[in-house]
Amino acid sequence: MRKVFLLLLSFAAIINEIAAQEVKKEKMFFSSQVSSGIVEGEQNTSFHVELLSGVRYKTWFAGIGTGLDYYYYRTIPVYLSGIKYLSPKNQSFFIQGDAGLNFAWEDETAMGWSEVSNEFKPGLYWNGTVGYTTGLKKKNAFSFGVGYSYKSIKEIKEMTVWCLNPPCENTFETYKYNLNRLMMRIGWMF
Amino acid sequence: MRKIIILPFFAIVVFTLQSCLKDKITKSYSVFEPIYKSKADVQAEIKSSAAVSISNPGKIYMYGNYIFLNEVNKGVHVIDNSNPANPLVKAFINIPGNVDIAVKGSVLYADLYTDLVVVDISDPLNATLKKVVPNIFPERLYVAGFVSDSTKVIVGWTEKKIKEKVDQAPAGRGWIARDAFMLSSGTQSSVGNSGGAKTMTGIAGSMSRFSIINNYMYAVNISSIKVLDITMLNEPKLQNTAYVGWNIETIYPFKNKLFLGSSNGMFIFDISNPVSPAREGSVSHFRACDPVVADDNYAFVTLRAGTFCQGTNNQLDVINVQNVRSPQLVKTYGLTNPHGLAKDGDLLFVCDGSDGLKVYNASNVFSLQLLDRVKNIDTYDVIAWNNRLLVVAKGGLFQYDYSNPNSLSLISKLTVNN
Repeated sequence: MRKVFLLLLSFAAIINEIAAQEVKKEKMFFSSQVSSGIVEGEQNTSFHVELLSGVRYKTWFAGIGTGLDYYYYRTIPVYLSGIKYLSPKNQSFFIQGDAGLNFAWEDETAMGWSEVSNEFKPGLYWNGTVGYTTGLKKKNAFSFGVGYSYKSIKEIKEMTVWCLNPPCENTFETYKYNLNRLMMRIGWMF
Repeated sequence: MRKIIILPFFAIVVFTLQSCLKDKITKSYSVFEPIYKSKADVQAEIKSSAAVSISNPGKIYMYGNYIFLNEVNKGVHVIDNSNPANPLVKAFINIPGNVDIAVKGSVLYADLYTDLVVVDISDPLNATLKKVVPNIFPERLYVAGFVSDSTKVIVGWTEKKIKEKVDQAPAGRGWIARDAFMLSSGTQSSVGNSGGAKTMTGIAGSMSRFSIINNYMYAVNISSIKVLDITMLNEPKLQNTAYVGWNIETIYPFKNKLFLGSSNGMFIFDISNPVSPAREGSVSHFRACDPVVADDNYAFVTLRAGTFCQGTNNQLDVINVQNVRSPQLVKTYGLTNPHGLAKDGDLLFVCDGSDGLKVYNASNVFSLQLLDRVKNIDTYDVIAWNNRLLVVAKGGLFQYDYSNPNSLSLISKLTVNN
């Protein structure tokens, strides 16, 4: 998964490079956004960081994003994103919706002593954000948003139960995590 | 500007609603409840029946052209291995609770939970029960938290799937299933396989708890060795129960010695007086599971960490046993998840769990040379005999030719059918 994450980052960087070279038409242009912030839910308050790249047309934006989300389990969301700016100006409120998949960044050190293995399966990821963006010059702008974020992931634990005639057959537990959080993020668009 | 100022306030308001959000974490697991059958009915069914598919292979025992493969807690597969390239599962002997087997002459000895059953296999395809010796393994009265009385036997389990909401994942991200009990899986049988087949008693693996030497059968349990006189093959008689230590796991015979693997160390017993094993020496190690094989000079012990084995190290220990009264650790090699092992001459075969089967040149124990590694099988135990390797793995029973130890060649495989 880490390789996928790095691949997506590279992809976003390439898109951004293309964007820098092709900013000709004002109505449609490539745009990227790096953002970070906090997510807060029942379990704790955590950090997240994201990179979003795509195309903006008038007051609409569509792109693909990825990042790191440290809430409960460290995960890598990969999602499609759509943004509607309420104004064509540099300073504008916006509404953002993201939807995609949530992958675990496996961490075997988190296994308990009785566990033989734990395997993660990806789950859904989505969020809705409202925010405000304020431009500095041309396509550079700060954005600030708050919203609701959901991520899920499935974990399958394989464990051994002690028995008198080892080896003892393993047993399995499956955990499905449906995690609901509030999200705040501050980003830099370029 | 006023709009920007509004946003932090908006964020504060939103985050005060945080307590309204609840995570939903569900845990799914299985609970197993025993299916009982009367002892009389179970004993009546101990005979060869139609072959069934292998699903959970345990210990193996090679005897002539036959392989006896334990199906953990269910019985024994009878496999005709006349043609190793095409082994045929010919029959199944139904023995609930069976995890250990040994063979001498035309008799199969097997545990049935607490009892020892004696099965005539002079015609393996028409095996018949000859005798039941009760209560030889009293520690097996308890099965996954359940107790059978003297009239009934657990013959299977019903699975009930449970799904429940939990507040959060287990502390430390992982604990034993609270209520989930499952069958205990097996290992393999033992008897010297380090060069020289014992045609009368067959050959077993290093994970065994049964061993037959001449007219005596030795069976280890958690703290003792049971010595049974099997001069009359169909009439085993318990001669002695020698208390030998704690957490005994495996037994391996070599000449007039018994090498016992326990989770705390390795013990060497002299059986010059076969009825009364006498402790000669021992080596302690950190807590781990440890099958052992030996030759005249060295014992090879694999230590497996984790789970019920506890401990944290996975390794192969080489122990000098030239002076059995004072065995000395001479070298340790790191492994991944070692289980059974076998030795034939200078060749050492190690089942390293999911890391496959490893073949070493052990002519110089201070510098074992890895000759070959069979990947992509999760190995459990091994028998090496006459350039032919029997390997029990999660995926089934595999046979390899090791006449060229630098490149094992697969002869055949009997795959598990779940």
